[in-house]
Amino acid sequence: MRGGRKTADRTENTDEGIRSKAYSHREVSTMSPVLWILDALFCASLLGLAWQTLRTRDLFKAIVLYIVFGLMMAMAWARLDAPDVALVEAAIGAGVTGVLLLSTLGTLSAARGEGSQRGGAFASAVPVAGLVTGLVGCLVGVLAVAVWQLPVESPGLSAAVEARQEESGTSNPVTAVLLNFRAYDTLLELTVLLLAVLGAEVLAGSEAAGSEAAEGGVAAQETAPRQETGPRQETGPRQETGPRQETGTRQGPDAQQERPPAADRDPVLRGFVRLVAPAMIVVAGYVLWIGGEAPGGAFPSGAVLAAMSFLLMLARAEEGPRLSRRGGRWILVAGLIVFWGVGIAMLAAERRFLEYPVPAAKGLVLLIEAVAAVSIAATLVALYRGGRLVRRPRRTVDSEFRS
Amino acid sequence: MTTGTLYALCGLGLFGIGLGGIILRTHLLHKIIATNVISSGVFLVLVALADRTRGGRPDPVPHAMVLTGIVVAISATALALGLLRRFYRETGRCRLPEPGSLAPGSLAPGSLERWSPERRSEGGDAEKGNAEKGNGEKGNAEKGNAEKGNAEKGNAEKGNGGEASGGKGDGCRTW
Repeated sequence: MRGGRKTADRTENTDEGIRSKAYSHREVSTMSPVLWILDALFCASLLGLAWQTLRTRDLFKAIVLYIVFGLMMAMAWARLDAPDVALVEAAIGAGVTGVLLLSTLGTLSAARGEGSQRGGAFASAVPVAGLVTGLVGCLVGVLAVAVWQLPVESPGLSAAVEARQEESGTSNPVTAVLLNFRAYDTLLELTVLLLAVLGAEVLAGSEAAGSEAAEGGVAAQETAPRQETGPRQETGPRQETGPRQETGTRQGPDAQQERPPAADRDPVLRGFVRLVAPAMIVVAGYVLWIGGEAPGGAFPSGAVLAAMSFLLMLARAEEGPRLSRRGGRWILVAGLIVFWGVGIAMLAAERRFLEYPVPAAKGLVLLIEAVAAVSIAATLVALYRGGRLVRRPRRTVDSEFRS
Repeated sequence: MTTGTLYALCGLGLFGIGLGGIILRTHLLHKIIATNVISSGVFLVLVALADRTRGGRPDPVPHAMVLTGIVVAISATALALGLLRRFYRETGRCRLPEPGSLAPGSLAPGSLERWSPERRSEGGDAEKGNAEKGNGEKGNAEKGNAEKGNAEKGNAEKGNGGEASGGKGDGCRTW
């Protein structure tokens, strides 16, 4: 009955042409049976994927399922009229998180076969699991009742956003909120990113320093998978006594031990990356620019740039400009510096912090977004590399992906 | 039921699954994935409830919050993964010791004593050899001694190989 009422309302409003012009190309989600089935399928597969992700004992499988889950989430966002979120989720939520998880799994060298061990994967015996399930179920049930009892309609802050949209310098309401109305959030978000990078660098630090002499400055965790899959083991007796004899589940890494030397591998990938990388830079710029009036903006753009960097690292692309470490650090903090600079300039102009003058708003938003996109990309790459954006040449990362 | 309500309930379900996972799974990588599932659920509830406006255009403020949230979530994930890598490097383990959670046969008696700081600082090899022996006996007794011998040999050789992190190879499998 509730659904029927809301459907009627929505259709009515659509006919009145209330929707904004920027968003008018999108469908209003009327609950026709087909769409309802689609939504139900989405929700069911989301729940099923999450369940399988956390139920399986094979961590590699769990990560792959989680990546699929992230892509399904992106489709759910699109279904919920949140294309900005969908873009970021697809790029960051599924892509970058998956890369980070896989590279960590590679570091925990043998973790993949670990799931076959008995008694380790789950915390506890059946009664405890039942208790936890029951309590979580109760919590979710209570929350579900609360959600069910919420009013069918709630305008939220959309009217307020719409009223001031003109002054924000952008016609995409999400960008307006992110970079103008609630620019504090984004400023602090960039700070959180930087803190995460610092934390990652500190955590990776001691061993990175130790291995720098021998390894040429790799972040330390990247040396770990080489113990099993790297060229170091291709000769010598270790092949015979390594842990690979213990379980039958480690065929993959074994096969990789007979790989040819690094430079000759993956000509297809290298050629592909050479073709795709420039296009990705263009896409990143386009997504950044279009964020002013349609879904897009700094975060998807930065994620595309980061994805390009991951591809370059995978393909061991040696060419391209080299950064000094100092330069890398400047890139990491550039977004914050510009953001703070704009905010303080506003103070100097006797406005409030981050309160842009209307005529200059578009330019300022674009400036902040452009620098922030580069910083975000750099941050994601640095998070992957254990907190360092720049390391010395001839370090490669693909062993992490393969192990 | 509206689209928004449906997805909000789905988000709650994800929250529940993630919460269960974070409690019941012991491998830290699995716990990190569970945290991400929880955050996805929360985001889904937020965005789904933003869809309750009159007219076709949802409330942009929760969308912006979720965008921020996704980026913060990946920062937190990356930091957690950094902690896990460090933890693994220091201890050779991927799970936290939880005395209340000892399933029968999952740990040898007294194995928690190996967690004292002085033992940890001794470095990985001897300690891990012990761990593997203990767990190997419990976990797959039928595979027997040859395997254990191999594991230990492997560790010893790796340790002698002169690599900084060589001794801390594969403790994660045996827990």
